[in-house]
Amino acid sequence: MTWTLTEAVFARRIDAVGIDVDEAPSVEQPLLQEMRLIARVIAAHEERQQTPDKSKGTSATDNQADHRETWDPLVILEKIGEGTFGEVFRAREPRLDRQVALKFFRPYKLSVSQMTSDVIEEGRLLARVHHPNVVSIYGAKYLNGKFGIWMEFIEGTTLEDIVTEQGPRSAIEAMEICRDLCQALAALHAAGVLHRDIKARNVMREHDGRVVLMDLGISCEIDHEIPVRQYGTPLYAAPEAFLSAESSPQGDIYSLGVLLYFLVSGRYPVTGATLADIHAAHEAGRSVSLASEHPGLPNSLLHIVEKALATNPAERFKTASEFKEALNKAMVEVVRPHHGSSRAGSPTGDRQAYNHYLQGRHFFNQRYQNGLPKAIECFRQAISRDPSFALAHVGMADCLSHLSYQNYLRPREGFAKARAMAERALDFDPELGEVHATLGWISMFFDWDFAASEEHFRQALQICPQYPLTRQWYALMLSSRGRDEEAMAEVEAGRDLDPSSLIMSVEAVVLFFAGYQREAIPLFQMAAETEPDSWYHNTQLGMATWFGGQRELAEAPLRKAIQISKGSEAYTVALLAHVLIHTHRKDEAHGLTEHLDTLAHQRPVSYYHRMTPWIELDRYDKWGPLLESAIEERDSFLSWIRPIICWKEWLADPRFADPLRKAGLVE
Amino acid sequence: MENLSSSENQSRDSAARNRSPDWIGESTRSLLDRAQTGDEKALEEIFSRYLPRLMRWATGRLPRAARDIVDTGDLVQDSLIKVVRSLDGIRDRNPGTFPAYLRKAVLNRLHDEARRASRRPDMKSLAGTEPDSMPSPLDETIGHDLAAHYEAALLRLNAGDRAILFLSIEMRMSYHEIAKAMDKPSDDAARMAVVRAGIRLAREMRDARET
Repeated sequence: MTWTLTEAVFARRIDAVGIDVDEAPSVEQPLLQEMRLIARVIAAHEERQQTPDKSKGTSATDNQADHRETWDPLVILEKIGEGTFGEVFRAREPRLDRQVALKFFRPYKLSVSQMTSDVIEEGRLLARVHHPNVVSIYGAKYLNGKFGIWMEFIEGTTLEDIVTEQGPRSAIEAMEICRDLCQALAALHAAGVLHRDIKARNVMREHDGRVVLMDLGISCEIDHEIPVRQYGTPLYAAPEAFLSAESSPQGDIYSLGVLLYFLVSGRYPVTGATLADIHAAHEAGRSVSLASEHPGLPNSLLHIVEKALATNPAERFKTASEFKEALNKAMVEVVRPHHGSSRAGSPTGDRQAYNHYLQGRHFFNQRYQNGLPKAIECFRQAISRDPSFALAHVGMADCLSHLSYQNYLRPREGFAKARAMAERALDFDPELGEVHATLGWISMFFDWDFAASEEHFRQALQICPQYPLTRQWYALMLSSRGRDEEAMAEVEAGRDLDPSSLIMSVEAVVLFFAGYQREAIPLFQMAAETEPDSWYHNTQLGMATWFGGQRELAEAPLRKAIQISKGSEAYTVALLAHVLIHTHRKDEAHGLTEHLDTLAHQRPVSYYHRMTPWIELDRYDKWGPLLESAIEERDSFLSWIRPIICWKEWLADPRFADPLRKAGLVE
Repeated sequence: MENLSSSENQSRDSAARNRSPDWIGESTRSLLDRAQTGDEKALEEIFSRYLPRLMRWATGRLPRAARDIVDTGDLVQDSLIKVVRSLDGIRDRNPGTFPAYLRKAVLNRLHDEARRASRRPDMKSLAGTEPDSMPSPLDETIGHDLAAHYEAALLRLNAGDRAILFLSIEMRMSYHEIAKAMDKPSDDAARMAVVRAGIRLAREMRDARET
């Protein structure tokens, strides 16, 4: 089903009241004018339909509908905060079965359409920012007379509460936090967004230590007529914010400098009882240096704070990344004397930590035989013995990203943690090559940014060409993009480094997708024979024989894989369902799809795998939303859409291909 | 201008319009068939689908001054019962006939009630005007001229378009609900039908303005 531009424009009018589509030049103006009028009629009826009916004779059904606490697509659960901007609720998004924070804004402009446009456009912009240290925005809209934006629900404590309750933080902890926030700011600034209200209350630390920047530039409460309020809390405002309505990244950098100052001292550089006092203090240059507020802090930290808080914006860090680099250097200086960690010498000064690491790698190589939990425990122990042991952080990042790839962790959550862990490793050892292989994997399977992925793999190869995982993963990435010969070259180069069943499996995959099914099947067979108890290798063998033209051989390994995994691997279940559908056993296939749904109630299950049997059953009502959710959740298996044979014909269907194209997964 | 595709629109549909996920099940046509055979549950289902929205819609159509006198709930319920009772006459027609007929029946009834109410001296003095020119909340929101312009163009459309736009624009049903009401094979098909009917409405409005 294809849409004309006129239809698309009108569809937007109908679906999203308040979104402006005036920029549709090829739709004739008189028709656009009537569409706008119809949109007003819609808005009037929308409001009426959302207004509780006070008239007598209201039915029970009506009452129920009116009192249901929903704000489509969310179910509102409880109020969790209130401020000048509006109210915040904990809510649930049933379709994706996740908790979210829903923020309703108080109207701050007379024109509903102008405010709607502001909120929705800003929401859209922010929704493009994907960073583990930035709260993820899921959606924004105007509905039922309310402007709302919903986002990731963060459970943790604000930095303000931490400092208030537990006192100032150590230099290293404060720098770690600010380094994460620099990365968050860099991501925001790269997306063209200014935060404008960085303060300790707007940063949450989750229980696992993840630092998240909240209250993004949705500064709807800010009255743009009053420049001083540009930066929210005046204690964090840069001096120029009191003079001009113009915002700049340097304003955010100043605020982050204040936050760093606050974290290590519990105080602020410029204070005053009133707004005017603070303004006057800035004018008079009355600020308290961190050195005098808190003597004994490392010089490198003092210099950083001093530079971030420079009165002249041009003298501050030019970018958040530059700020982060300075923090990294300072942290290495502070940390090294305690841990003796250096890439040039031993990866850790703690022999026991190194042993844990090696053991972790051993279990990681058994990742398709339930090795990951054991590997995680080993890496955890290594890190607890030497917190600056970069390679152990890489190992942990690899475990987290593979758990996310296999959907044991929700990809958004797991990959974010993996990336944070990898970046921490990089901070401890900027020269580390292995971490780039990890980041290459994350870029490929989570970001779907194949260029960035390749960049990381190349960097990893340059720094440590003997690291086998780089070759294997790079080969998979190249194969997924149809670059078969280059992929085979990487397999060749990697074979001597790790002659295990894993490289055999990688080689099989590469050959298979390159069209050499006949050559690939024996390799899948060998991998399955080498590790007969691996559900993964048996599933791969089933997949290869089915799609490689040896259909009669496919079912046995798949059933074996089901038996080994006790039916808990969605990949296997979905493949077997596929086989059953095509061998006229739809009833059993239906049973398996129901099993996947049941499984999804118990733990995260790949939307991709849940979707595939429904596609074969031609049930768009089922697979359409699942595809949407798979993209939304960034299901790793979508990275394989391009070469997988059975999708080739489906890619001609715009319902299937368009969302994938939009996500950058197919051309 | 974003490049909008059918699938993208589909996703917006489910996010923006799927207000009643519990509205899954039989088509309205099938329910009407069952109701005609005396199936009480089918009748109840039709009521639960249409009555709440219809009442809110009707409240917006009744002049404020008349709302203290006319009981919108009773009025809508009566109209709905009458329409369902006349099933024999409509059940075999186009699926759009039922909603179109429903709209007309309720509007006629509202008009009658408003006129009746205005004959009362206190009502007339309160409103200071005749019922036809008394503004409804809809008139007040979008302006009487626009409301009339829209209404006139809507009446020039065929019954199917009128019905689908009534369900979508005025009742604000989700595409899933519309698909059930209008016997469309999928939510996507319902959406396409709404959009195309909407464009025909916009063209009618444009042509009326140009002439």
